[in-house]
Amino acid sequence: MNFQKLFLLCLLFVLQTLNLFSQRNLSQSEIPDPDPMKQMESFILDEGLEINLFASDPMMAKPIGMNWDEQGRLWVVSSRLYPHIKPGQRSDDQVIVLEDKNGDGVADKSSVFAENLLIPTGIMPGDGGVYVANSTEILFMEDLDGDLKEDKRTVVLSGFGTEDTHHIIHSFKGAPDGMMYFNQSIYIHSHVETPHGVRRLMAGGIWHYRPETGKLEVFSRGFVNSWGHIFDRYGQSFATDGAYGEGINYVFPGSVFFTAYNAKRILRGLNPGQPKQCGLEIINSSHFPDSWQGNLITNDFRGHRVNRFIISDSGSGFVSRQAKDLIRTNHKSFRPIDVKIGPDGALYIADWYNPIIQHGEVDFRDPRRDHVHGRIWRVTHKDRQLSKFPKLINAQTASVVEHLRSPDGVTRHFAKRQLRQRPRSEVVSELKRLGGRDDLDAEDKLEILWANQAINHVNEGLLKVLLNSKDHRIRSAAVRVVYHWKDELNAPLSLVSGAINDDHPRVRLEAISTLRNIGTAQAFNLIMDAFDKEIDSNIDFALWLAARELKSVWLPLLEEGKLKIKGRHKALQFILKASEEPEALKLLAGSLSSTDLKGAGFRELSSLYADLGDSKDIDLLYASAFVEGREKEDRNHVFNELIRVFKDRSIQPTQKREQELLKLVRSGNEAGAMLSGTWKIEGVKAILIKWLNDDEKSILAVTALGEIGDVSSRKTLIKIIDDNETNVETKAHAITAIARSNLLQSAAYASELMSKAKTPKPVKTILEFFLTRKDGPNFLADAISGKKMNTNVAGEAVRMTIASGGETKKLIQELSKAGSLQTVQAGLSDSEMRELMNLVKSEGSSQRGEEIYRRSQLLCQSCHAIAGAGGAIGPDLVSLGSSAPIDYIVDSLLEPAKKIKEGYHTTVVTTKQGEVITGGLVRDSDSELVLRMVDGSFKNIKTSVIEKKEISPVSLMPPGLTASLRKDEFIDLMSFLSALGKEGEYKVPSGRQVRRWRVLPKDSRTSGLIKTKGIQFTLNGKNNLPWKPVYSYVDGGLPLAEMGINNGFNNRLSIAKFEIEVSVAGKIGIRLKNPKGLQLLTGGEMIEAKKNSSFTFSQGRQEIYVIVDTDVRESNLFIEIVDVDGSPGVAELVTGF
Amino acid sequence: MKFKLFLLLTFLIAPVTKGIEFKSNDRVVLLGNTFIERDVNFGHIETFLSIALADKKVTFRNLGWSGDTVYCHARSYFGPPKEGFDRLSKHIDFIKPTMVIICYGSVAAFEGEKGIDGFQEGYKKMIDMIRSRAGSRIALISPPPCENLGSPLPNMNYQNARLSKYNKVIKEIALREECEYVDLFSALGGGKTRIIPPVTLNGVHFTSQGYRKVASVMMEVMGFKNKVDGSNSEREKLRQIILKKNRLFFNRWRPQNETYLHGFRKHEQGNNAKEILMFDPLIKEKEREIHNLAHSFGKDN
Repeated sequence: MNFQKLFLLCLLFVLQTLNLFSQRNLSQSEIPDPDPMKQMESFILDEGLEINLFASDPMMAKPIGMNWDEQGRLWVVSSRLYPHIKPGQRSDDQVIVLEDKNGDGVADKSSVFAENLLIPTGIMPGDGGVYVANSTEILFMEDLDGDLKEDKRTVVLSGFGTEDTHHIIHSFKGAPDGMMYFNQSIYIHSHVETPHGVRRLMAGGIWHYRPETGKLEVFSRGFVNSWGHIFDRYGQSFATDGAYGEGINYVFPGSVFFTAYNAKRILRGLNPGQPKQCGLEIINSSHFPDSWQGNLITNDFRGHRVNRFIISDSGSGFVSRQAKDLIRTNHKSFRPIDVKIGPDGALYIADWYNPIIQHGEVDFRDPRRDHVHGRIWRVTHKDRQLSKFPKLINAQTASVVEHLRSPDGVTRHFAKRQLRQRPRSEVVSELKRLGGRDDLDAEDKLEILWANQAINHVNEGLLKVLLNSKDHRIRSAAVRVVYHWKDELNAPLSLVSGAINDDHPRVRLEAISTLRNIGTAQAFNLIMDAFDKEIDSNIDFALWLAARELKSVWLPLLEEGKLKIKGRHKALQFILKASEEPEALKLLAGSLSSTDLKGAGFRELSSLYADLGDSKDIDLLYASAFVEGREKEDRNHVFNELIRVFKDRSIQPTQKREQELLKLVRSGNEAGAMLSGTWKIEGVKAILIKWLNDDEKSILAVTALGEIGDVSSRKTLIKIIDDNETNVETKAHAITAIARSNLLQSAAYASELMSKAKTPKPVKTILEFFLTRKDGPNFLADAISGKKMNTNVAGEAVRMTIASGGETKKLIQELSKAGSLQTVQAGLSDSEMRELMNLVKSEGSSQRGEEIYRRSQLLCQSCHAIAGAGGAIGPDLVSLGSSAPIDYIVDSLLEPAKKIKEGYHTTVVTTKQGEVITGGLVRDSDSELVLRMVDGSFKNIKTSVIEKKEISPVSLMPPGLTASLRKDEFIDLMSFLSALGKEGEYKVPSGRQVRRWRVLPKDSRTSGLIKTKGIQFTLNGKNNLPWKPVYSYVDGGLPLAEMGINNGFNNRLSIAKFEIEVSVAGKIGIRLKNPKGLQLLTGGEMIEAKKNSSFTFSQGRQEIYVIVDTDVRESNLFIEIVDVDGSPGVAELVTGF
Repeated sequence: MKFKLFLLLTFLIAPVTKGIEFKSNDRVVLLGNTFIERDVNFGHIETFLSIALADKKVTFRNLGWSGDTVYCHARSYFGPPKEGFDRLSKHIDFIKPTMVIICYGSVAAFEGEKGIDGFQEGYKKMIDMIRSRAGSRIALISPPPCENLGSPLPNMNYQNARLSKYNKVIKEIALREECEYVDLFSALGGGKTRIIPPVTLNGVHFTSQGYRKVASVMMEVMGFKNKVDGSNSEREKLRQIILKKNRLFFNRWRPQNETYLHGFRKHEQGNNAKEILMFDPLIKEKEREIHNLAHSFGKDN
């Protein structure tokens, strides 16, 4: 059966299937055997590791989070209710305590500590009880009689949002200084009252809390679903995210990440393009080999893997690199979601055990959801001794403090937790005694300082010692202590005045955060010192944040001449810009009017003027364009910004300098022409009319005439439209140009053009305009009604219209009628879905499917990446198959709007000018909103021009993309997509393989350049070559067949390039699977390729060219970048479209 | 548990003289911030009122919301802060209360003097909204004072001074807008007396015993001094049913997963919103139990 017919048939069932959806009883074949031993057999472990089952159902089911206690017992929160309580169902989720009494690595006792919970998502024993996240609240439960049963329940904090049960507060974490940290995710809005006032956090972030003081603060903001937070040996924080794929994130006070509410600026993760992770632990255990210490362990719960990352210092922050997986499996229900080192030094992994994850895309009541199973796995190293965990609970305080020196992080941690429950004076004196010993290393002293912090005892003497440590990591940790003790210390400023000038960037970063937290005028003057040293991206962010948060502190200082500028004009400019205070512009006037500032710096400043300036500032901005020696590009930028200012805020300069402007236009300046049109300068009309005959300028000319919009301009435009000689593209633009004054007339012309169009291009121009105007789609629909259109053109028009996300139902109907299109939007009935799924399994070929996926007309790769290679408009598909059941993948192709992935909803913005802008929301702040457009570009919209902002129920993914496929092709595509991320050929291997390429298609100019100038001079970044994006297969190979062939001197060459981002300069290795017929070229240096070669790179983005002699080579290209032993060089591959 | 008030038993001289009047079949909404919201877990206020009003079959709906102010910004989700006010309006439409007991001010008081104008303006707007939508009778309760529990918890004297100012403002609003006024702040000692043992965990959040204390003080101030029948065990039995009803109602009006049920992703999981309505008969059933039990108190002795 033809697949399109199948769609038609289904049309009848569309309405029913929506209702039937939740009851769809699909084959259970995707559900694996729950026998834990069978599951264990499927695990593939890294060398030297062993695994055993610590605990399983029925001892414990559905673990969501876990933490150990001071007695070596494992506390687990367990929810059978997730994702949503049913009416009448008891909220009977549990806290379970697992004990391994005989120390054989297997739990032998399970106790239900507490019941009556509603989807508990976080747990942390401590302070003589246990903290538990329970929906809107954090509970503290106590066992008063030692029978491991809850006797007393207290709400310690409340007011956390519950808008999504996999986002509610989670990831409870005891910090080295005795505080408690926990996370909330993107859909949550929390309002928590404390004795210090109300604390609010909209969307995601990390909180910290000290129960005994009642102090609750936001530590960091952003992330999509940040399950995982860990402190390293020196108190630095790292976080992982289960929904945004940038791997490990380095988190510092005030840091802001992707999706943060009201964020103007965000920081990036350390592994862009990584699969998403849940749960995080650091190896700080004597049981594991030295080379593993400090490594981070996290879970790819979609891909059924447990990952390892190696982090190392880089500037103020870190770099992170993926190492070999600890565990891999194709067991579909293995969902590792939490990982913790146990008292024996082994790694314990909570396996949520479920074939289905998520409840946004997958129905709450999908019968395949598992509510009864769950596992805790224990991973040990074959050749290593287990760690010894001491008895803490009845030990003398004198011996508890000794454990602060243990080589095991778990022991040190619980020793500190135990000290919090001892009489304070006793702990203070024991810590003093320990601190007086002469065999302590810096790490021991840091633990003692933290122990003092944990019991709220200020020990300034020890703090000072550590602030002067030789080790930058210790100094950084000590500065962080000042951050938290700012109100307890007598002179916190004097303690960090050295740190702000420290030689190590991380210490400076900590100092900036601490001074920002102190927040006084003197503190800000100290922050100014940081501008004298190197500023990397974290420091730049911290300075920017400080300048914004403290502007009410330093602006008065500046006015009084008390700000410590000391000739740091760049610094002054930086903080003025960061503040976005209109007042600040006056102080930047000098920079704007001189030509000392050029390029990006000047353009940034002129945009700031355009954003904030009043009419006097706009006069100055315009004048800056005519300053002697102003570079052309910079001047054009000013012109474009002035157009924006006029459109957004109706401000124009008092002096238009018409003669000067027109002189520029006459010499061919297009930005000036548009500006003249926007300002309706009469004199420009004659020039524009001349430009109508110039093919390169005619589109601009009609657009500018449209801006002028007076009677004579309109007449000219209509003449152009009526003229059969006019090329169709110019005509389309002329039609949109008259729409500015008469939408109805324009719609009539547009429908004429559309009914005659043979190709989609001019129709695209028309639609791009009409779809972004209020009433545009409806006017156009009326005009098209009754007309006929070319079927292909109409199809393309429907696709564009749907993707616009606006109110376009009527237009879609009329376009479909005009093009005699069959409706392609349809779901499948139960039986059809079952049949299809069986066919995918029996007939589908993932290999053929991958070829279909790569077809350019399907547009898959323009919007989706696999492991970072490809567009970023839709979700990365790297682990699609292992996270979504086939029926959900089928649905998302046929009806993209039905299930939309978090973070990929379409936002529709209507401006006060009546423009409608649609895209994915990247950032939203008080001053501006950033959308990711369908073409992958970013658009910034000032909130002041926004009339309305809505989240659209429409997906950016156009439906019907697969309508052109035959049924067997569709089945192959499904087979490929559902194999992605599952153990096997379609799981992206770890390592940094090059996946995103640019290749040169066959092109006579390129061939000519190679022949005349030579390959090295052709590939020097200056020749504007027609590079085309291509991506590797999932296995990493780049097919030669997809590269163009250009003639060299006497050979036929295929050329590809890839890019790397070098964060630390040095040697970087390039590894080729097969070097035959390849040459590598970078930075003008060309070498004959070997299996392993290396280049020395400087910091920043670098291009590497691969030249293939196609007479010699036929096989696909596999290239990986690797570290070079002994080289400081650190690089990541550039990902994206 | 016995409570002792140092100094005077100040609640005896509390300023409200006439009691608050409830009518048969009143639908009462309790509205406010954390102080109101957390009584959902304890139910003492509702238990005492249910017994005192046993013959009137009054029902209670707790619409407290942590961190909330008279502007209801804490009630907003994905929209602008004012969406919170719209959400409350919808809940008022849904419940159509005949009587609303409101307690705001403890969050606003942290802003001190500069927050007072906004507080007055917002409170009036809220009262107008409730009256125009449901025609409810309204009682304003002043927020309870904070306690000083000693270091490392903060000293709350300054906050109590601010609360005292807000208490005066609330009284003025009540007079101006013709609402009932219940001076809980003064009745609990106005921050000037120490209650032993303490009634809060951390100076601001009440313990179960604390709520019991608040409930009995409120009964005094509202004029139900001798109307609370039943033995302790009977009251406890009633309270347990009230807690069950409260949990059911919480899952009804503030369900988890709102994003998918009624929010911007309702096209994905909105089909499950039908389950939410299924809480209504369960709540009704519990209310019948509450009325029957409360009604039986004092009947057989």
